[in-house]
Amino acid sequence: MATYDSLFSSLGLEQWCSEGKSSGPMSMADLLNQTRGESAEPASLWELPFPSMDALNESCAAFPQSRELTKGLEQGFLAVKDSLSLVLDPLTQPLSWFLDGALYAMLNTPWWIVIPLLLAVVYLVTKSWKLMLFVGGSIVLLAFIDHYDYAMQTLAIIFVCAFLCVLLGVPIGIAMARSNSLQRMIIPVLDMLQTLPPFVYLIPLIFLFSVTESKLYGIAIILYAIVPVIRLTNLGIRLVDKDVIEAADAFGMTPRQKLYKVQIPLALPNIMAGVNQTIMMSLAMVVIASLVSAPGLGVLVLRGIRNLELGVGLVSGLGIVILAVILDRVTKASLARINVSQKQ
Amino acid sequence: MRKLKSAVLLCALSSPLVAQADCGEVSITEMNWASNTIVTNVATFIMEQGYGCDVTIVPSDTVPAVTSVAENGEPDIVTELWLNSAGEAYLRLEEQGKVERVSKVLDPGGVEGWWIPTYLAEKHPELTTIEGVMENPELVGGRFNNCPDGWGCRVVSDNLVRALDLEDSGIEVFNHGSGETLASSMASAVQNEEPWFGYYWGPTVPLGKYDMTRVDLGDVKPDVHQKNQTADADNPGVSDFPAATILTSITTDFKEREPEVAEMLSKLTFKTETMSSILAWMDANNASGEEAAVYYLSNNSDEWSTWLDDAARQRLAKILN
Amino acid sequence: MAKDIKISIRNLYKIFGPTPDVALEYVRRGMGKAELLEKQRHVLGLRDINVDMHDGEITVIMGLSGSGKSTLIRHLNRLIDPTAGEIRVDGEDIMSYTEEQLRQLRRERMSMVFQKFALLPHKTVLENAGMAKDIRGYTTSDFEADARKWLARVGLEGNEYQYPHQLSGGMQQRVGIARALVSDAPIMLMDEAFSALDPLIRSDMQDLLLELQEELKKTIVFITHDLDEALKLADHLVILKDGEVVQQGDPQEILLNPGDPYIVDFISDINRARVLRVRSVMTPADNADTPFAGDVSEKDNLESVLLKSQGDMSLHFRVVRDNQHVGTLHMEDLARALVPTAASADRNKNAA
Repeated sequence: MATYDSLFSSLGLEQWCSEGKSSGPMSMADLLNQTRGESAEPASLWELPFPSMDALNESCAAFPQSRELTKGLEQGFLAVKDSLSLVLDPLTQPLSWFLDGALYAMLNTPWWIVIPLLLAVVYLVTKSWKLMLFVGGSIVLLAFIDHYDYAMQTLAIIFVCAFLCVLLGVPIGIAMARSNSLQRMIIPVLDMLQTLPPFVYLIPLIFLFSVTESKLYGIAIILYAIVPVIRLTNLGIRLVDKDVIEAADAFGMTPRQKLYKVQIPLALPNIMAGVNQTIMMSLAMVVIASLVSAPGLGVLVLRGIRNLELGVGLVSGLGIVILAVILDRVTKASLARINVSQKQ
Repeated sequence: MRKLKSAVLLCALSSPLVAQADCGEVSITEMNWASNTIVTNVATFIMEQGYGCDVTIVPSDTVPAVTSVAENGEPDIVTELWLNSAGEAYLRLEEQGKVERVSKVLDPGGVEGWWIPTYLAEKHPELTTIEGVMENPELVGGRFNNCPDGWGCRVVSDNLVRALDLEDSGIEVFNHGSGETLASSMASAVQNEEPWFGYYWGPTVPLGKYDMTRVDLGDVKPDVHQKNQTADADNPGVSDFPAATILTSITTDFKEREPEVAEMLSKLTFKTETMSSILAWMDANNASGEEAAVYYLSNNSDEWSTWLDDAARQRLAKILN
Repeated sequence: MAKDIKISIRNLYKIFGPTPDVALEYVRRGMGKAELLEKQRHVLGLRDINVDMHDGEITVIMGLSGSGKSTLIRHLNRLIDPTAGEIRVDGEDIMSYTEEQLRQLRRERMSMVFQKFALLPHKTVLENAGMAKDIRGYTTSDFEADARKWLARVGLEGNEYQYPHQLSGGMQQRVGIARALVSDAPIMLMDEAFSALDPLIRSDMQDLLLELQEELKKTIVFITHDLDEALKLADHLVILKDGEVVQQGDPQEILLNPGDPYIVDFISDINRARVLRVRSVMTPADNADTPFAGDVSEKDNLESVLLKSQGDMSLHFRVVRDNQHVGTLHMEDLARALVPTAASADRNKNAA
């Protein structure tokens, strides 16, 4: 006798129920009741179980248990995975090429070329000697404690992923800014991407692609880090002064002219703030990316955690912090340069 | 200490279940793999219902658990401790007399090694030895799926790879980032009936679920294996993995405090094949670790009743019959 | 009027809301703005507007906020599309224009000056001035000379390479005017162009506009809520209230013969002596040998004549245009013209 027996009998479903196979495994609660010699029947309304799938299954064996739902999802995924990977695999292949190429280039170019090159880029975008010296000092420090290769691997991955985030995120943000219905559709997806634990979508991806493909961690990073650049591009374009847009219309700009001559330039401070956030978030993902075999400082952090080698963990964690500070300062400095010419 | 006692007393009074028992608070580890969930849940059930203990389950992993015992003397019970993963740190604790191994919780023990799917072995029988694999690297997909960084098996496998010159035979070594991706790569390959070659261990759900065949690495040479357990060992040798010793270990402090429970734990042993069959049942029924423990308890009472003392047997009489 | 009609608006309606066509029927049957909002949840923007704007003239559309004046000016370049009605520019119905034709209209035949300047903050003054040309595909070097000329003309020589945020409001609006002039469009739409400026600067800008207009003879549509500004600039004045035209015509005419109590209220506060001109109160030239106290121009305002007469109401002045005797101004007529209209007293009572 279970709680909801009467429900099924009143609906005349006893026949159908009895056709079902016997119920699933015994739960710990059942065993405890058995130990105490009590029946499973709830004594009062106070203990009435919620009519969940499992509770209903107790009364009616033909009613599916919730574990059959998860089983069904798994089988459904396995059924469509072949056709899915046929589409997704070639589509995402360039990501693997980019990542492998960047890693190869970073590691096979001698340090005395890479470091000056990085510093030149820093100076070009920030025009600040002070910042350039700071970045140089930080990289030299990392190299001195033999973390140069790991740091460069992490940097290479972040460059590729952040670049692709901007490449994909800015157009998506622009499209969102132009269509309210698109915005309504995309915002829940963005919310989901930022909250869904990465492994939940990474494990299915392993079934689609090979686990050895570098795109696997590339996808993990991009899906997480692309969110701010989309959000802030959308916001930036929506915040462009309505009067200026009207002036653009009144002087006969085409939609394309309006986009390139007015909306993007005026939204640029916001877009750059999004790029800064995106870079920071890709850095936050390097440890998780290392769980799906991304090289770099994340591997050292994991080793530190697993073997409780506190020193290894601390030094590599510090390395990540140094990279974060460098990237943050450099993007913020270039953002500030844009802002100066845009004050209204 | 007085405070602790009064807390225990309070607990005992508040719960009618433990009214006639004298066991206090106990902490036990729960590692993140399936067989351990079963062991821990079975032990917890017996300690709570048979001995009236107030059990706290501590989710953990091998190395953090050993470290925690070394630093804090907690948790009281570490079960399904793979000796080869725990390494030197654990042996040092034993030498210092802080912990004591009370039983081999799995008998004869765990298996670890290098595996290929059985359908591959049936199609190409030559792949069941490492020589065969190295001669036909393309048949196993040209890739060895290695342990994640920071695992005990990683060190051994790395040394074996060097000793065998595995990479020279055209097999790429892929270092996984986590146990999850290692398992999924195996699962994905078996689903698609593709070649796969890599490290795994049992008893585990994947090895219970997928039909895998072990690749013979030659004889087990204990001294060589011992040497292979040091990272970047000079002159690593080739030795297959010996059966892994899997222990239940308790703190000496706990043994003094709760001798009856320690006595029970020393008898708590699963046959490896029983464990494998529970894991297979668990996967077939899509059950949780807790349900698998219940499954074991309700179907193997003749086995686990021998672990109990008389008082406990009496308290659990209702389900023993 | 001898001049050609440049822009002609016929039976124009604009209703804001989800189903304007349905609401339009109610409006045509006579439903008022308040009733429409309450019963149909639609906002009446414009109702049955008929205005002709002549080539080379400044047409001022005046009304308080909410009167629909900004909505009306945006119909001329179709930033807003009407619910019903016809808009003709140079005799062509712009409602039938394709997107490309409309763009052509906005690029080459109409320019616009905005209340909040609406300059591009990331472009220099020079680039902003040349914006219209840039949109048409010219490079900076093509329009630079032109842009510099007009910037100099509006008094911004030397500011070419500054950014808008470095200029004061008045200077920014000079850039806005230069931008409109560089486009070479014959029609200039000015939407409350001087409303955001300080009174003193506003007066300067009005003078600048009149000075430029003297020379350029563009067709200017000027929106304002300020009656003094309207009277100063207008060749043709259109007064809007609640989306309807209450009176339109020569501003002097409106001042002397207000056709609606609303306008009477409106004009009661202004300095009539300063706004009314000699030509509006003079009598045609006769041969009577009136003794003239002096000559006045027909364009002079009454204030200057008062000054000249030193308040003596018995005097007569000879009115001249281009040194020709065109009429006679009797000071008694002048005094009569300065009497405020009756209805204003009513409003003053209410206000007290």
